[in-house]
Amino acid sequence: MRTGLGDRVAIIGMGCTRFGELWDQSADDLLIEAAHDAIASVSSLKKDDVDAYWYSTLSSGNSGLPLARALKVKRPVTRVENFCASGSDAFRNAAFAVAAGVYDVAMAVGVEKLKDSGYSGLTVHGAPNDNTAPAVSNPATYAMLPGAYAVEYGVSPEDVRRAMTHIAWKNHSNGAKNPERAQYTAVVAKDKIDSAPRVAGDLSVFDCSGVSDGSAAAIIVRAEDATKYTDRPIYLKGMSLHAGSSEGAVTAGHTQVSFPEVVECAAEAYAQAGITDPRRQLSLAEVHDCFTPTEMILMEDLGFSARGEAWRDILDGRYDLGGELPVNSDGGLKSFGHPVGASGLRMIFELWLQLRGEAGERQIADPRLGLAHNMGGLPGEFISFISIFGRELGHV
Amino acid sequence: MTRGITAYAAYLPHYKLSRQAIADGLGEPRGGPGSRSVASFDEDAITMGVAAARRLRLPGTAVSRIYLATSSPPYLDKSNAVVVNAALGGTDWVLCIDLAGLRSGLTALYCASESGGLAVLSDMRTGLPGSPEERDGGDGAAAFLFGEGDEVIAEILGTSSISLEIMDGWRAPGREPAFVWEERFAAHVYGSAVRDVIAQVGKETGRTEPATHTIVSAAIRRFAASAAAGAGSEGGTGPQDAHREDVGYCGAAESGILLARALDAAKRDDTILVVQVASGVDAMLLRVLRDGPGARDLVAGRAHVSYNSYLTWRGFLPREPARRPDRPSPAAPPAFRNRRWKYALEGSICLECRKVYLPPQRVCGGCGAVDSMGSYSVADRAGTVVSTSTDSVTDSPNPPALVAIVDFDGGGRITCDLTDCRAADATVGSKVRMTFRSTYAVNGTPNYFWKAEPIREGDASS
Repeated sequence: MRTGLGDRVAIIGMGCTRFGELWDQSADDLLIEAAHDAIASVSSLKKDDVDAYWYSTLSSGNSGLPLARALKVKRPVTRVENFCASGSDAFRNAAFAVAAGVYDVAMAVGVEKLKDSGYSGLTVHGAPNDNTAPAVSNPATYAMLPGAYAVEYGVSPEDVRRAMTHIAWKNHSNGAKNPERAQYTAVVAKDKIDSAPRVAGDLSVFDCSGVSDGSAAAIIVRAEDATKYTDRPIYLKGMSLHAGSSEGAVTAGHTQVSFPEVVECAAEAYAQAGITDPRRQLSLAEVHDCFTPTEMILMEDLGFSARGEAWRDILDGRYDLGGELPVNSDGGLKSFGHPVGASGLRMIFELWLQLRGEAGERQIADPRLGLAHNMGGLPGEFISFISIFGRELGHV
Repeated sequence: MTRGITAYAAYLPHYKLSRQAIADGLGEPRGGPGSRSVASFDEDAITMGVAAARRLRLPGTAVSRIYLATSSPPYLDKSNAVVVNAALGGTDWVLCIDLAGLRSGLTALYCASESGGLAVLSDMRTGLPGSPEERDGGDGAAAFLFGEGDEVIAEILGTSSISLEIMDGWRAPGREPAFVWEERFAAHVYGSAVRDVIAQVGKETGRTEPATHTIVSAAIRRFAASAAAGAGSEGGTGPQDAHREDVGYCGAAESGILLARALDAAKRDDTILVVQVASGVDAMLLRVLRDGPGARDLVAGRAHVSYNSYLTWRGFLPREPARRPDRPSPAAPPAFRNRRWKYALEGSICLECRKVYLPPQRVCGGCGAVDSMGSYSVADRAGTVVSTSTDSVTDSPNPPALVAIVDFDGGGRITCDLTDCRAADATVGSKVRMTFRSTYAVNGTPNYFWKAEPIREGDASS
């Protein structure tokens, strides 16, 4: 019988570097900083106590060796790559390992060093193939979403644009309250967002996540052991990963106003966590705002907004920091930055801070449950990951 | 049984460059009237030849041999005609024959008339900025199917050739600019040769009176005009003059494009004399067996390209590339394994639930059937733009790039490049069709695949 890992594993320590254009730091530097900060966040833990590592990166290293070499650890290290959900999947596999009892203490650590390539935007180096894929950039792929949404729900393109601008404004405003770590820490006025030159379709740079360097790490133990290390662990309540079979990308008539992988993923995670009304039961959510229209559609796929209503709820401020369900309180991919292999763990890091009451200026009052949604791929073919954390054991 | 041309078509690219724009770009006062045709940055002799041949709407099994004539072959060593056959969905049993040089155009027609099969004439004339080749040249293609029976449109009455070792124009391998001797020298030599060849064709066919239509393919514009006029045909030189003004001299494709235009305008029992001047003079006399559809406007709706863009497309004005990784070099084994997809745009259709997959799949996501797929080409199917975007991030010789999700009539979806249009020409709901293109090149090696282009009202196609 499938039970999931709800209340069976916990995070007892985390570390997260600044994200951004970190010209003076290598991937090794970032790994070392995040991993050692995570260890240092647990006063009773030494590096030797970590039994095994899951190391996630899209393109900044191959195999587990870069981590072992940088940290000088003689431990099992597994490299995890699952597109932009790599960091989440490192956490997921570390959680499996401690829950199985194979290890007592595991670390998931993700890193990405994107700015050394000199490229604009994200690049993926695929296997040799027949070279029939168009050279379309990620922004252009996601720029096809807003128009489809407007047509599907009879919303004016101007209203969709206003919602996208609000998301960019909100996430930049939240990033401004995260000055130690976020890539972009300035509030950006809505008219500046609206008038920025477009890079693809209706998307400007303000609609796109920041291409950045960074690293984040989490230390994972079985739930029953958590309080040996900290009086404020965060407990996993539900976790799900879905890989779409890419049918949406090849099926005529498929409308790109929903990501089915996310809907399925959310249903599983909510069932594990006992969540029936996510909008009210969740205190906050970190979602994969790679582009502003993505966040808009996710509000519906995650069940926070009714179909065709997210644009209005966004404009009403429901997902603002002071709103009913704050989304991307740390600035999100948009403003915190998106070092691919680290992003999933960065999302969990914000839940860690918020649930422990350590989020400073952007602290949400008395949060009980937080959700992190991380995904990789493109509309029509996604990897979707959701984890839900709470500060207490037991039924939500 | 009557043998001859059973189907024909000409293809001219979407873009044109006005001669005044060339002069303006070079700071010269007068550029002359009209414009030349310009193959887009993603076209070459192979893709234009495919475009012309596809207009014949042949089933993939209709042809047993293909001749490809061009002076601008994208590949040396490797056959270009084989690529044309692959893109036409032909079988592996087609004999593919490459003919080279400006003279190859009429040669291909001659060979195909003897053996049957498909003659594809396709060429690009470029030349250095400011050269007569640039100003008076053009890009285009034509295709002719030869066979026998009631379908024959025109039969070949006779041919004649003079071969002259004359250094009137040439290119050395790997050296792009053509060397061209003084025009008056070539005109002097070819003048009498043209008269001799025309007389010889008349003698051999017993038709010594002027043909109803005479067309002359020659690089030198004035010579082509005067030679055609000198033949004394009642059809006059108007169509050829218009072609030289609107399109330009299309190299090895010139005689084919002119013949296609003449066949359009011809009436039953007209004769057409095709004269090709290149390394000698070739002549072919045809008798038309059916009325043509009437003269077609092959250049309607063409879009002007700026001189700067033209220079960039041809490599004379390299621009700062986008900060993106180099495109991958062709990988031979996957391209070979997937050649029915890459070249013939053949996906698969589930034989259980009829779901269409582009590219082909072995496992059906609709019903779960395994290895129960049939082949399914969408090359000739119309599609509808479901979603589209500009893309200024990706590198393109013609920024911004355009991408679209296309759903095909009858099933199947593809995300692909849009070509031969601007963003306003292809919006959600626009009808598109697929066109075989050179999507990019790595160190001069072209990579071929298909793009979508808008279906425009009044598109010329035979």
